[in-house]
Amino acid sequence: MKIVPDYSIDDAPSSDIMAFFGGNAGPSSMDSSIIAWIKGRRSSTSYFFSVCTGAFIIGRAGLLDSLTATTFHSSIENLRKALPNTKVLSDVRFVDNGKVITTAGISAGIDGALHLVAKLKGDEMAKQVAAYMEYDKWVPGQGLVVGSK
Amino acid sequence: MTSNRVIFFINKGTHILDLAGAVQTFYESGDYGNPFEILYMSHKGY
Repeated sequence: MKIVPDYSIDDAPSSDIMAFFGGNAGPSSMDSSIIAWIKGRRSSTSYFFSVCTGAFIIGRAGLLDSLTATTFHSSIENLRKALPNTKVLSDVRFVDNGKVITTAGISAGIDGALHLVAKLKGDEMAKQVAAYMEYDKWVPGQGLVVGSK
Repeated sequence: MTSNRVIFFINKGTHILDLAGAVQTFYESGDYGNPFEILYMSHKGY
């Protein structure tokens, strides 16, 4: 399947949330122009969000330095090696550091997105969205919110 | 700042459910309040 994006790093407008994904994230994470572009968006973007191995992209841009993160279950050890200054957790659906949210693999992106919706627009809205999507297996507490009890 | 514009960065080879689950979640939340503006971007060659 081919997807035609709206923008490239040459003309993308500013955004409140930037989201990155897995599935061949390696080339993007190793591309110096993409990494520089992300770094340039750091202060103007309210939230960075990654699903699966998208964590490698934002991690290479320094966004996970000294933070806690997660990624696709088979890539936990590789992310630990790639980001020695990041605490990488397994067995968690998402990790919220405040401005930077990472999720585990693939379907965990739904949990992370629901968490971000809850954070921005309230728990009740996130529950309504989960119900509408028939994602009735959603357990909000399966993520870690750093700093909360 | 109201956090309403979301940009999804797509790699060449992005897993469809990585992307689609999050997109669907943000999109559906628009039915219950101020919708997110959803945009997609990539990089040449990816």
